[in-house]
Amino acid sequence: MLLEVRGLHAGYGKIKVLSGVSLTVGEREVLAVVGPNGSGKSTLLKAIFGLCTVYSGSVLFKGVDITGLPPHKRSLMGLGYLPQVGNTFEGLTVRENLLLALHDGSKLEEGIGKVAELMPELGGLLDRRVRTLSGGERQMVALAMVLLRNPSLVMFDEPTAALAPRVARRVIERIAALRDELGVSVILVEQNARAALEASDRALLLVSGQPRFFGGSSELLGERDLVKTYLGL
Amino acid sequence: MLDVLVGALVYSNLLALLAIGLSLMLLTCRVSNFAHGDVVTTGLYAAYTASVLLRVSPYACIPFALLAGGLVSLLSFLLVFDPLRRAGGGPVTLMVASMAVGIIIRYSLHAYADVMQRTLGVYTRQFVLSDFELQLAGLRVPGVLPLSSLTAAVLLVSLYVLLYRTRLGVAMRAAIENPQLAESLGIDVKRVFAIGWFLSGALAGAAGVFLPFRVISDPDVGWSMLLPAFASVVVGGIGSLAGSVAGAYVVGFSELLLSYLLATLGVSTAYRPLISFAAIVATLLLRPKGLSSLWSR
Repeated sequence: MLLEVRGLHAGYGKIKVLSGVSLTVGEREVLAVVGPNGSGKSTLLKAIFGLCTVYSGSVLFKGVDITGLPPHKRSLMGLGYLPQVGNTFEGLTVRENLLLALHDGSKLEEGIGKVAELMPELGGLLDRRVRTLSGGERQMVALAMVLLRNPSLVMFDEPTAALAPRVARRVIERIAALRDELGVSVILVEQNARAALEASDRALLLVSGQPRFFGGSSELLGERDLVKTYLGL
Repeated sequence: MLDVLVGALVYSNLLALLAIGLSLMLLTCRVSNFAHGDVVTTGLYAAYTASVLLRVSPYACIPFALLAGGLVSLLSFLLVFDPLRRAGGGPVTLMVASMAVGIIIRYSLHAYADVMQRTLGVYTRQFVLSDFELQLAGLRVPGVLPLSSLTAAVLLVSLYVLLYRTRLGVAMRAAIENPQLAESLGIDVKRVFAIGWFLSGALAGAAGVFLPFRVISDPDVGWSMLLPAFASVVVGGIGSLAGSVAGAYVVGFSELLLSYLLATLGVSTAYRPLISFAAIVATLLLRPKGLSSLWSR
């Protein structure tokens, strides 16, 4: 297993959010995390990346217990995390953002070549400050920064939150396609439950910080009561 | 009148060296560092001591001042401000702590001044150093004018190059903007901030070397530079490094020219600090983003 989460209880200081969450993500697998607002989906990603308090339970990545590691060490191990906001340095140029994303700054030109191949739109924006870009372009810069670090698993926190529904579906399909293009695994936290479930292999349904379903995405879509009650589908 | 202009330029050069460090410390730790004036004094005594021991001009001892100022500032970051910042100390807590750090440095220097006077046999209180003069475009100017201008220009340009042309500088600007993201990209934020503090202190230390050529010096002299330096930061626009430098020249020149004007009207120049404070209040009331609002949105 690439990632294994066992009986995780996590939150922020005294505020407990998650209780008893377990999941696994295999190689080249897309896991969708869905559930109502405030059910702890984003907190789950933060807990896996080491950005909130873990009271008990453990996180194993590539067979190593990383529960106590600081975020930048997890990142070096190949765990990528794309937060919903604050995922780029807005005062810096696109080029400077990419430079910081690389482990080895001397490979900047090589990295930029790779980015330009995957996202041709970014090629012309290298010397623009991120602050001056559109929302979609910023998300692309953020994604490029994560991908430049050659992750084995990328976690996306509501990448479509600010986008129109039609665009959102395309972005979700685009993210799921990363599995085939780059051979990475993906955890996708999404409000857009139907699109996320259709694009993913497996699904975790979180309700009030507790897991209600973990299994194949199509199976979850078949559970009429669950999807109706909690996802409004 | 020439004297006034020379004085204003030298004074502004020193304010610029101080103000940019104050800005950098505000950006990294959200602290209005009241100890920064005493870092200037540390540089002053480091260069003075080295010049007596090595029998060279204090101007040749600028590297000692850079080092001493940098180290004192770095220590204050590592021992006081970084732990407080991590413990969740707000701007007020940090500011009060900085006053304490300033007093510790100042009175340590008072003690050191006595030791230095006894062991080296030179005046360490209420002293001035004699400057050389040189002919510049037919005018006689004191050496402190070209040397302080050159020092300020070299140090400020170097800092600019570091911040905008090196990976360390990019990492520093990134860590200032979003420490959490920087951390997640593998940037050691504490180390990067520590370097920023060392540089801020080094620049302030360098400013100290020039003070005894212009004013009667003692262990309190750097403290008196602090408030006009804060005025420069405010006038330039809080959070803007370029603004702080511009602010330093605006505050420096207005302080000296206006007090010259007051003096010709028969008002004592003892009221000079009024000008810096008026500048702070006026900027905050009329244009809170200061000079930096002229070039950034």
